[in-house]
Amino acid sequence: MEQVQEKAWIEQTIGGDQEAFGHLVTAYSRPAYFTALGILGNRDEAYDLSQEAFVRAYRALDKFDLSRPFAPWFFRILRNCCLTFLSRRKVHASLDELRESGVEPVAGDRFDPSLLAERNDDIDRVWRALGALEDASREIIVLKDLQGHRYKEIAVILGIPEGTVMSRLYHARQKLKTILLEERAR
Amino acid sequence: MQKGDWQLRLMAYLDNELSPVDRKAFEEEMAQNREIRLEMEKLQTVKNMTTRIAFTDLEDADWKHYWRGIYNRTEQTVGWVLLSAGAIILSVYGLYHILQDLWLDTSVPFVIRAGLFAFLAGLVILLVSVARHRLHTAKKDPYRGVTR
Repeated sequence: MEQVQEKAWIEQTIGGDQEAFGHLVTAYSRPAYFTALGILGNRDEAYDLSQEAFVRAYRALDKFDLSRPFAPWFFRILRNCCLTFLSRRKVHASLDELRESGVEPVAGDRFDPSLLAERNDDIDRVWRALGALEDASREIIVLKDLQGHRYKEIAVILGIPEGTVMSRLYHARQKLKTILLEERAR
Repeated sequence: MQKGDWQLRLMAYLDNELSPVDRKAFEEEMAQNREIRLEMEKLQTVKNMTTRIAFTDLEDADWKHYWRGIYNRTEQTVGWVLLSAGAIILSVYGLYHILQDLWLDTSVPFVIRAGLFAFLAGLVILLVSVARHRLHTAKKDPYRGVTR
Protein backbone atom coordinates (compact mmCIF):
# COMPACT_ATOMS: atom_id res chain seq x y z
CA MET A 1 0.00 0.00 0.00
CA GLU A 2 1.19 3.51 -0.78
CA GLN A 3 2.55 5.41 2.18
CA VAL A 4 1.01 8.62 0.83
CA GLN A 5 -2.47 7.12 0.99
CA GLU A 6 -1.86 5.75 4.48
CA LYS A 7 -0.61 9.12 5.64
CA ALA A 8 -3.76 10.78 4.30
CA TRP A 9 -5.99 8.30 6.15
CA ILE A 10 -4.03 8.77 9.38
CA GLU A 11 -4.26 12.55 9.11
CA GLN A 12 -8.00 12.34 8.45
CA THR A 13 -8.41 10.01 11.45
CA ILE A 14 -6.51 12.38 13.72
CA GLY A 15 -8.75 15.12 12.36
CA GLY A 16 -11.78 13.22 13.67
CA ASP A 17 -12.82 11.13 10.65
CA GLN A 18 -13.27 7.64 12.10
CA GLU A 19 -14.24 6.17 8.73
CA ALA A 20 -10.73 6.99 7.45
CA PHE A 21 -9.39 4.68 10.14
CA GLY A 22 -11.78 2.07 8.77
CA HIS A 23 -9.76 2.09 5.50
CA LEU A 24 -6.60 1.29 7.45
CA VAL A 25 -8.41 -1.49 9.29
CA THR A 26 -9.69 -2.96 6.02
CA ALA A 27 -6.17 -2.88 4.57
CA TYR A 28 -4.48 -4.54 7.55
CA SER A 29 -7.18 -6.66 9.18
CA ARG A 30 -6.23 -9.93 7.48
CA PRO A 31 -2.43 -9.67 8.00
CA ALA A 32 -3.11 -8.61 11.60
CA TYR A 33 -5.45 -11.52 12.27
CA PHE A 34 -3.13 -14.10 10.67
CA THR A 35 -0.07 -12.75 12.50
CA ALA A 36 -1.93 -12.98 15.81
CA LEU A 37 -3.12 -16.47 14.87
CA GLY A 38 0.47 -17.57 14.25
CA ILE A 39 1.51 -16.33 17.69
CA LEU A 40 -1.56 -17.39 19.68
CA GLY A 41 -2.76 -20.48 17.82
CA ASN A 42 -6.39 -19.74 18.65
CA ARG A 43 -8.96 -18.24 16.30
CA ASP A 44 -11.08 -16.34 18.85
CA GLU A 45 -8.08 -14.90 20.68
CA ALA A 46 -6.47 -13.84 17.39
CA TYR A 47 -9.70 -12.12 16.29
CA ASP A 48 -10.11 -10.36 19.62
CA LEU A 49 -6.48 -9.28 20.09
CA SER A 50 -6.03 -8.08 16.51
CA GLN A 51 -9.07 -5.85 17.06
CA GLU A 52 -7.63 -4.69 20.37
CA ALA A 53 -4.37 -3.77 18.59
CA PHE A 54 -6.32 -1.55 16.17
CA VAL A 55 -8.08 0.15 19.09
CA ARG A 56 -4.72 0.82 20.78
CA ALA A 57 -3.26 2.10 17.52
CA TYR A 58 -6.27 4.40 17.11
CA ARG A 59 -5.75 5.82 20.60
CA ALA A 60 -2.02 6.35 20.03
CA LEU A 61 -2.33 7.70 16.48
CA ASP A 62 -1.52 11.27 17.50
CA LYS A 63 1.94 10.04 18.63
CA PHE A 64 2.60 8.28 15.31
CA ASP A 65 5.49 9.63 13.22
CA LEU A 66 3.90 10.41 9.85
CA SER A 67 7.23 10.21 8.03
CA ARG A 68 7.32 6.44 8.74
CA PRO A 69 5.20 3.60 7.33
CA PHE A 70 2.18 2.50 9.38
CA ALA A 71 2.65 -1.29 9.12
CA PRO A 72 5.77 -1.84 11.29
CA TRP A 73 4.42 0.50 13.97
CA PHE A 74 1.07 -1.24 14.00
CA PHE A 75 2.51 -4.76 14.00
CA ARG A 76 4.66 -3.81 16.97
CA ILE A 77 1.52 -2.86 18.88
CA LEU A 78 -0.12 -6.11 17.80
CA ARG A 79 2.89 -8.13 18.93
CA ASN A 80 2.89 -6.42 22.32
CA CYS A 81 -0.83 -7.19 22.73
CA CYS A 82 -0.25 -10.88 21.93
CA LEU A 83 2.84 -11.28 24.13
CA THR A 84 1.23 -9.51 27.07
CA PHE A 85 -1.80 -11.75 26.70
CA LEU A 86 0.36 -14.89 26.54
CA SER A 87 2.42 -13.92 29.59
CA ARG A 88 -0.74 -13.17 31.59
CA ARG A 89 -2.30 -16.44 30.54
CA LYS A 90 0.83 -18.33 31.59
CA VAL A 91 0.89 -16.59 34.99
CA HIS A 92 -2.82 -17.23 35.42
CA ALA A 93 -2.55 -20.87 34.43
CA SER A 94 0.52 -21.53 36.54
CA LEU A 95 -1.00 -19.90 39.60
CA ASP A 96 -4.58 -21.06 39.44
CA GLU A 97 -4.59 -24.39 37.71
CA LEU A 98 -1.29 -26.00 36.92
CA ARG A 99 0.43 -25.65 40.27
CA GLU A 100 -2.14 -27.85 41.96
CA SER A 101 -2.51 -30.35 39.14
CA GLY A 102 1.26 -30.61 38.60
CA VAL A 103 0.79 -30.37 34.82
CA GLU A 104 3.17 -28.08 32.95
CA PRO A 105 1.78 -26.02 30.05
CA VAL A 106 2.79 -27.22 26.60
CA ALA A 107 2.86 -24.57 23.90
CA GLY A 108 1.72 -27.04 21.25
CA ASP A 109 -1.48 -27.82 23.16
CA ARG A 110 -3.14 -24.64 22.02
CA PHE A 111 -2.20 -25.02 18.35
CA ASP A 112 -5.19 -26.57 16.72
CA PRO A 113 -4.49 -28.01 13.22
CA SER A 114 -8.05 -27.17 12.17
CA LEU A 115 -6.80 -23.59 11.69
CA LEU A 116 -4.91 -24.69 8.60
CA ALA A 117 -6.32 -24.20 5.11
CA GLU A 118 -4.70 -27.30 3.70
CA ARG A 119 -4.01 -30.36 5.78
CA ASN A 120 -1.94 -33.47 5.36
CA ASP A 121 0.40 -35.36 7.66
CA ASP A 122 3.43 -33.24 6.74
CA ILE A 123 1.68 -29.92 7.32
CA ASP A 124 0.17 -31.11 10.60
CA ARG A 125 3.61 -32.22 11.72
CA VAL A 126 5.15 -28.81 10.94
CA TRP A 127 2.26 -27.06 12.68
CA ARG A 128 2.73 -29.18 15.82
CA ALA A 129 6.47 -28.49 15.72
CA LEU A 130 5.82 -24.76 15.41
CA GLY A 131 3.49 -24.99 18.41
CA ALA A 132 6.22 -26.70 20.41
CA LEU A 133 8.69 -23.84 19.79
CA GLU A 134 8.99 -21.12 22.40
CA ASP A 135 7.09 -17.92 21.61
CA ALA A 136 10.06 -15.86 20.34
CA SER A 137 11.22 -18.53 17.87
CA ARG A 138 7.73 -19.21 16.57
CA GLU A 139 7.06 -15.49 16.24
CA ILE A 140 10.04 -14.84 13.96
CA ILE A 141 9.19 -17.82 11.73
CA VAL A 142 5.58 -16.64 11.49
CA LEU A 143 6.70 -13.12 10.55
CA LYS A 144 9.13 -14.38 7.90
CA ASP A 145 7.68 -17.55 6.40
CA LEU A 146 3.94 -17.24 7.01
CA GLN A 147 3.59 -13.46 6.70
CA GLY A 148 6.41 -12.86 4.22
CA HIS A 149 7.89 -9.77 5.89
CA ARG A 150 11.33 -8.57 4.81
CA TYR A 151 14.19 -8.52 7.34
CA LYS A 152 14.01 -4.74 7.50
CA GLU A 153 10.32 -4.86 8.46
CA ILE A 154 10.84 -7.62 11.04
CA ALA A 155 13.67 -5.58 12.58
CA VAL A 156 11.32 -2.62 13.04
CA ILE A 157 8.44 -4.77 14.35
CA LEU A 158 10.64 -6.54 16.90
CA GLY A 159 12.83 -3.51 17.66
CA ILE A 160 16.08 -5.38 16.96
CA PRO A 161 18.90 -4.99 14.40
CA GLU A 162 18.68 -6.88 11.10
CA GLY A 163 21.68 -9.00 12.11
CA THR A 164 19.76 -10.18 15.18
CA VAL A 165 16.78 -11.02 12.95
CA MET A 166 19.01 -13.31 10.87
CA SER A 167 20.57 -14.82 13.96
CA ARG A 168 17.19 -15.48 15.64
CA LEU A 169 15.81 -16.91 12.45
CA TYR A 170 18.78 -19.22 12.10
CA HIS A 171 18.39 -20.56 15.65
CA ALA A 172 14.60 -20.82 15.33
CA ARG A 173 14.91 -22.88 12.14
CA GLN A 174 17.56 -25.05 13.76
CA LYS A 175 15.21 -25.75 16.69
CA LEU A 176 12.36 -26.46 14.33
CA LYS A 177 14.54 -28.85 12.35
CA THR A 178 15.51 -30.67 15.57
CA ILE A 179 11.87 -30.98 16.70
CA LEU A 180 10.84 -32.30 13.28
CA LEU A 181 13.65 -34.86 13.27
CA GLU A 182 12.81 -35.98 16.81
CA GLU A 183 9.17 -36.40 15.88
CA ARG A 184 10.06 -38.40 12.80
CA ALA A 185 12.30 -40.67 14.91
CA ARG A 186 9.39 -41.55 17.28
CA MET B 1 35.41 -18.54 7.23
CA GLN B 2 33.92 -18.35 10.75
CA LYS B 3 30.75 -20.40 11.28
CA GLY B 4 28.79 -17.49 12.81
CA ASP B 5 29.58 -15.42 9.75
CA TRP B 6 28.15 -17.84 7.17
CA GLN B 7 25.15 -18.78 9.32
CA LEU B 8 23.75 -15.28 8.99
CA ARG B 9 24.53 -15.05 5.29
CA LEU B 10 22.98 -18.48 4.81
CA MET B 11 19.73 -17.10 6.23
CA ALA B 12 19.91 -14.07 3.95
CA TYR B 13 20.62 -16.39 0.99
CA LEU B 14 17.63 -18.65 1.79
CA ASP B 15 15.32 -15.67 2.24
CA ASN B 16 16.55 -13.94 -0.90
CA GLU B 17 17.84 -10.94 1.04
CA LEU B 18 21.34 -10.83 -0.46
CA SER B 19 22.29 -8.49 -3.28
CA PRO B 20 23.10 -10.25 -6.61
CA VAL B 21 26.83 -9.73 -6.03
CA ASP B 22 26.74 -11.11 -2.46
CA ARG B 23 24.54 -13.97 -3.60
CA LYS B 24 27.00 -15.00 -6.28
CA ALA B 25 29.91 -14.72 -3.83
CA PHE B 26 28.06 -16.88 -1.29
CA GLU B 27 27.27 -19.51 -3.92
CA GLU B 28 30.96 -19.70 -4.75
CA GLU B 29 31.81 -20.15 -1.06
CA MET B 30 29.12 -22.76 -0.73
CA ALA B 31 30.51 -24.70 -3.68
CA GLN B 32 33.80 -25.02 -1.85
CA ASN B 33 32.42 -25.72 1.63
CA ARG B 34 30.51 -28.98 2.15
CA GLU B 35 29.36 -28.01 5.66
CA ILE B 36 27.57 -24.89 4.38
CA ARG B 37 26.06 -26.84 1.51
CA LEU B 38 24.62 -29.54 3.79
CA GLU B 39 23.30 -26.95 6.25
CA MET B 40 21.70 -25.02 3.41
CA GLU B 41 19.91 -28.13 2.14
CA LYS B 42 18.53 -28.98 5.59
CA LEU B 43 17.33 -25.46 6.34
CA GLN B 44 15.91 -25.08 2.84
CA THR B 45 13.78 -28.15 3.57
CA VAL B 46 12.56 -26.58 6.83
CA LYS B 47 11.77 -23.30 5.07
CA ASN B 48 9.91 -25.12 2.28
CA MET B 49 7.75 -26.79 4.93
CA THR B 50 6.93 -23.63 6.90
CA THR B 51 6.14 -21.59 3.79
CA ARG B 52 3.54 -24.22 2.80
CA ILE B 53 1.46 -23.48 5.88
CA ALA B 54 -1.58 -21.33 5.17
CA PHE B 55 -4.41 -20.55 7.57
CA THR B 56 -8.11 -21.02 6.98
CA ASP B 57 -9.72 -17.65 6.35
CA LEU B 58 -12.62 -16.44 8.47
CA GLU B 59 -16.19 -16.38 7.22
CA ASP B 60 -17.25 -13.25 5.31
CA ALA B 61 -19.65 -12.42 8.13
CA ASP B 62 -16.74 -12.30 10.61
CA TRP B 63 -14.88 -9.80 8.43
CA LYS B 64 -18.02 -7.72 8.05
CA HIS B 65 -18.27 -7.46 11.84
CA TYR B 66 -14.56 -6.80 12.28
CA TRP B 67 -14.56 -3.03 11.73
CA ARG B 68 -17.85 -2.65 13.57
CA GLY B 69 -16.25 -4.36 16.59
CA ILE B 70 -13.32 -1.94 16.56
CA TYR B 71 -15.63 1.04 16.08
CA ASN B 72 -17.74 -0.05 19.05
CA ARG B 73 -14.69 -0.53 21.24
CA THR B 74 -13.32 2.94 20.50
CA GLU B 75 -16.75 4.44 21.10
CA GLN B 76 -17.13 2.52 24.36
CA THR B 77 -13.68 3.68 25.49
CA VAL B 78 -14.77 7.31 25.15
CA GLY B 79 -17.97 6.45 27.04
CA TRP B 80 -16.08 4.76 29.87
CA VAL B 81 -13.61 7.63 30.23
CA LEU B 82 -16.42 10.19 30.44
CA LEU B 83 -18.44 8.00 32.80
CA SER B 84 -15.45 7.39 35.08
CA ALA B 85 -14.46 11.06 35.15
CA GLY B 86 -18.04 12.06 35.96
CA ALA B 87 -18.37 9.39 38.65
CA ILE B 88 -15.14 10.52 40.35
CA ILE B 89 -16.20 14.18 40.36
CA LEU B 90 -19.67 13.34 41.70
CA SER B 91 -18.31 10.94 44.31
CA VAL B 92 -15.83 13.49 45.66
CA TYR B 93 -18.54 16.16 45.71
CA GLY B 94 -21.00 13.79 47.40
CA LEU B 95 -18.48 12.65 50.02
CA TYR B 96 -17.60 16.25 50.80
CA HIS B 97 -21.25 17.09 51.40
CA ILE B 98 -21.89 13.93 53.40
CA LEU B 99 -18.98 14.84 55.62
CA GLN B 100 -20.21 18.40 56.00
CA ASP B 101 -23.86 17.50 56.62
CA LEU B 102 -23.50 14.40 58.75
CA TRP B 103 -20.11 14.35 60.40
CA LEU B 104 -19.81 17.97 61.40
CA ASP B 105 -23.47 18.31 62.41
CA THR B 106 -23.62 17.47 66.11
CA SER B 107 -27.40 17.01 65.96
CA VAL B 108 -27.03 13.88 63.77
CA PRO B 109 -27.53 10.70 65.86
CA PHE B 110 -24.40 8.84 66.94
CA VAL B 111 -25.44 5.68 65.06
CA ILE B 112 -25.48 7.52 61.73
CA ARG B 113 -22.09 9.10 62.44
CA ALA B 114 -20.69 5.70 63.45
CA GLY B 115 -22.09 4.20 60.23
CA LEU B 116 -20.44 6.94 58.20
CA PHE B 117 -17.14 6.33 59.97
CA ALA B 118 -17.36 2.58 59.35
CA PHE B 119 -18.16 3.18 55.66
CA LEU B 120 -15.19 5.51 55.13
CA ALA B 121 -12.82 3.33 57.15
CA GLY B 122 -13.90 0.25 55.14
CA LEU B 123 -13.40 2.11 51.88
CA VAL B 124 -9.87 3.17 52.85
CA ILE B 125 -8.94 -0.35 54.06
CA LEU B 126 -10.22 -1.91 50.80
CA LEU B 127 -8.35 0.61 48.62
CA VAL B 128 -5.08 0.10 50.53
CA SER B 129 -5.51 -3.69 50.48
CA VAL B 130 -6.19 -3.84 46.72
CA ALA B 131 -3.24 -1.52 46.00
CA ARG B 132 -0.91 -3.64 48.19
CA HIS B 133 -2.12 -6.87 46.54
CA ARG B 134 -1.55 -5.44 43.05
CA LEU B 135 1.96 -4.32 44.02
CA HIS B 136 2.74 -7.73 45.51
CA THR B 137 1.49 -9.55 42.38
CA ALA B 138 3.50 -7.26 40.10
CA LYS B 139 6.69 -7.99 42.07
CA LYS B 140 6.09 -11.75 41.96
CA ASP B 141 5.22 -11.83 38.23
CA PRO B 142 7.75 -14.27 36.73
CA TYR B 143 7.31 -12.66 33.31
CA ARG B 144 8.01 -9.07 34.40
CA GLY B 145 11.50 -9.26 32.82
CA VAL B 146 10.20 -10.53 29.48
CA THR B 147 10.89 -8.09 26.65
CA ARG B 148 7.64 -7.24 24.95
